[in-house]
Amino acid sequence: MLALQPDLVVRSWGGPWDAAQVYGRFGVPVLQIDGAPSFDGARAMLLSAADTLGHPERGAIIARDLDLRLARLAAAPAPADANVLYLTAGGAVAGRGTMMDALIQAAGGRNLRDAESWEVLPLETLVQTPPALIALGFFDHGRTAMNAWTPGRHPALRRALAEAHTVSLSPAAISCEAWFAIDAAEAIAAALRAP
Amino acid sequence: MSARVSIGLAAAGVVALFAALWLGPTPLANPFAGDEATRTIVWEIRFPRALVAWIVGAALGLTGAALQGLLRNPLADAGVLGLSGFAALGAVLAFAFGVATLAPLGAILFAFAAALVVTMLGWRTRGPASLVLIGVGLSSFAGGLIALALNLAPNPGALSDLVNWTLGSVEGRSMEHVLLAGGLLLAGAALIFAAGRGLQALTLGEEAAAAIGANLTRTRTLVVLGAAACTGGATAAAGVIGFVGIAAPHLVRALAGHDPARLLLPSALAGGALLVSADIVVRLLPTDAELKLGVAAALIGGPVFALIAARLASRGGDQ
Repeated sequence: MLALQPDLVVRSWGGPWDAAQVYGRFGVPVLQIDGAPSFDGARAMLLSAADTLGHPERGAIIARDLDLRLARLAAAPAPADANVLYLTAGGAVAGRGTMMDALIQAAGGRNLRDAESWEVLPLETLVQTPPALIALGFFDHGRTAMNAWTPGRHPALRRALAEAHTVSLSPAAISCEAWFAIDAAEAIAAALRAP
Repeated sequence: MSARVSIGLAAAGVVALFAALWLGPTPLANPFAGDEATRTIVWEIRFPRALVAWIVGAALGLTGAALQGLLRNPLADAGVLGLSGFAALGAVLAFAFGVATLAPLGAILFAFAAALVVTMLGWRTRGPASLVLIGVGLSSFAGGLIALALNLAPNPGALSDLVNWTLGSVEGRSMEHVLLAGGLLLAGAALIFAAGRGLQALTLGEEAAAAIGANLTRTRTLVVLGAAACTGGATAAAGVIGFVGIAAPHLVRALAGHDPARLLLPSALAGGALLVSADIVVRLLPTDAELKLGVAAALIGGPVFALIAARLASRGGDQ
């Protein structure tokens, strides 16, 4: 890294846990991009990154667009049944304190999982309390095939998915917890209000 | 005595399986109610899960009893011969190379590969101590390669898959896993029970056993291949679950005696009942994320095993 003599290191994960200090000792500034559990956090991260990269005006334009789209979602009429479950092909569901929870709320939905953070899909809960909408992440992008033990392969889940109202979210919108998750929020909002 | 113990342990297993249908995170007033949600929860989610737990526990218990008899070592189990380490490695490599659907097959094939190496080297070296040393070497090698796969994981998602799998779980298992692990348990049990007489003869020591006509090479081959089938199936279905293989034979030895052949069935039944019970505990714990069965088995089994060992030692026995 030092041999490349970078002006700036943009990092997310991997490498030393104290990368900022390590690179800082050698005079290399580090822009740490972390996942944000809310649109407020994502907006702040966006502006900070744009500033550090020397393009504050571009960051401001994207932030204004984000604000506009969030306001449009907030103004939309409430859906009749708003229970939403976000499920990945690996069998993880999102609870409180995650960007997925934030985008479900932004879409006018109510996250069926009220526990904190991520957890493995509770199959029994899904069977007993089916959500109005299941938002699917990475189901059509090879994740189903990634794990032979994932609950995503369970026959009970496959049947539940066949009978449920689902929306497949674009991996580009949900791969990272950032401002572009607004695309996924809009997809959920549209699916919740679809006839 | 052994028959009565087996009947008792089989009954305990049935009770545990029945309890597993009833108890779970979703309270059910009547698990045999006819509504669709209850039928799905009980027969499609809880029943296969409990069956997989029983089969995996039985496979590990049977393997532990057979290997403790073969190696005349009370601390032996599939881990000592490197079988579970290699089974884990087979699955981890499948994860690491992005073909995780082949992970169960990888676990089974690598368990048999380890068995082949142990058996071939065992033919040359004879002696249980050499087999243990070969197994420990294989186990360490497999552990190193698993650590390497974790080290080189391409992204946090893959790392999470690898780590979660190595913790062992029967969550979300279906009849597909029952058939996989059950079939291999049957095959492995057939091989191990066929070695029963040889295991009995081995209690006299290798030389005496050979002197009375026991075919030690056949016994070793049958036990090691049977253990590979059981371990491969168990690991393929549930990931890495330790401790049951060591603990189950010890739990039943006081009741069923020290004859390795007579310990096989009770150990399998005890392992099955033990793991189903541990899985019930896991499901009922009020945690946000379910505790992994492999973790729970070690947390429950470790202290229990230490207590049993201490009690046996105080009575002057160490077997």
